[in-house]
Amino acid sequence: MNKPALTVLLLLVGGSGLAQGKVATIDTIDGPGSGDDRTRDPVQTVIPEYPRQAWLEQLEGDVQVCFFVTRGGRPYNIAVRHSDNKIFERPVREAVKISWFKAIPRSENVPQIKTCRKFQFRLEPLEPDATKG
Amino acid sequence: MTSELIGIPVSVRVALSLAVLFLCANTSTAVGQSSGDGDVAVGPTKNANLQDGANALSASNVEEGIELTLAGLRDARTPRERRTGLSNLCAGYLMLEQLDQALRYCNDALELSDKNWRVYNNRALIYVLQRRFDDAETDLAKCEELHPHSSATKVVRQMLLHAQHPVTPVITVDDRRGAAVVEVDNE
Repeated sequence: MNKPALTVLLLLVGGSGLAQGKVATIDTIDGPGSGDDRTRDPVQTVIPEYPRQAWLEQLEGDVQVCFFVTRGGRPYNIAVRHSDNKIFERPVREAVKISWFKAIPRSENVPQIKTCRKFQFRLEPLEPDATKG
Repeated sequence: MTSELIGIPVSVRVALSLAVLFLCANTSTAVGQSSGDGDVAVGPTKNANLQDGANALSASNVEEGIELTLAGLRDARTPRERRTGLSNLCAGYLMLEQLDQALRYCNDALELSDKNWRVYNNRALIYVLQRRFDDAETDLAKCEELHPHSSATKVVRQMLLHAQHPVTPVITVDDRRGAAVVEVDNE
């Protein structure tokens, strides 16, 4: 099966807003359209919060979760497939749980395929000037 | 205000408050209880002002706490009471972000005893806020030697880390299927 890949990259760069769980900036990079009738298109992707303790301890890591999506577009059976650090798992699960995918009309079959999503938690150095005031 | 002094992220500003309160709670507890640390007043103090000052500080009534502690310090009869009063004044002025004043009391407290890890911890926090990172590191090392595994010290060390190496979180969500798809039986 040579299906075009659906690429959705959401990049969130957070400062103070992130600390409060707010979305400061989101850059969306859409890949080529899928045209794949088995692919569930994301409608609303919720960004997890960076765990405060991880930030304080300057921990980074990746978490990959896989899940099914209901006909209506709700993720369920969310399972962690890979995780660098347990501290990131809970916010990822919670973010996926309240994310939303495009619904499938009743006239079509619901694809029995797991959707997977990878979250990368990174800490980028701030410019010294950016820390003043 | 304090976070602007050292350029720490907002979430660390919250940690700063907690750290100061935590230290304050420690010192106030120290006035009336025996911890076996050797660096705190043992047993209920007869110095009511000192006790009330510590209670006020731990309740975040900082100005009142400082006033009472100053009064208690004037009535201090033992080196231990004096040491505790100075330590609490250091914490109190630190909470008010009057760093020079706080530093003065911390130094006075350490002149009486150089075994009080709480004072080193307070002073390390002052140094972090003053961006005197080497001095902060020295005091934190002393804290860790005198009282290993202190959570208050851990918080200050994290603040030092963020003050020296500030970072901002970046979260990337990657839905690319090629790397992540798991197929199951399609019934």
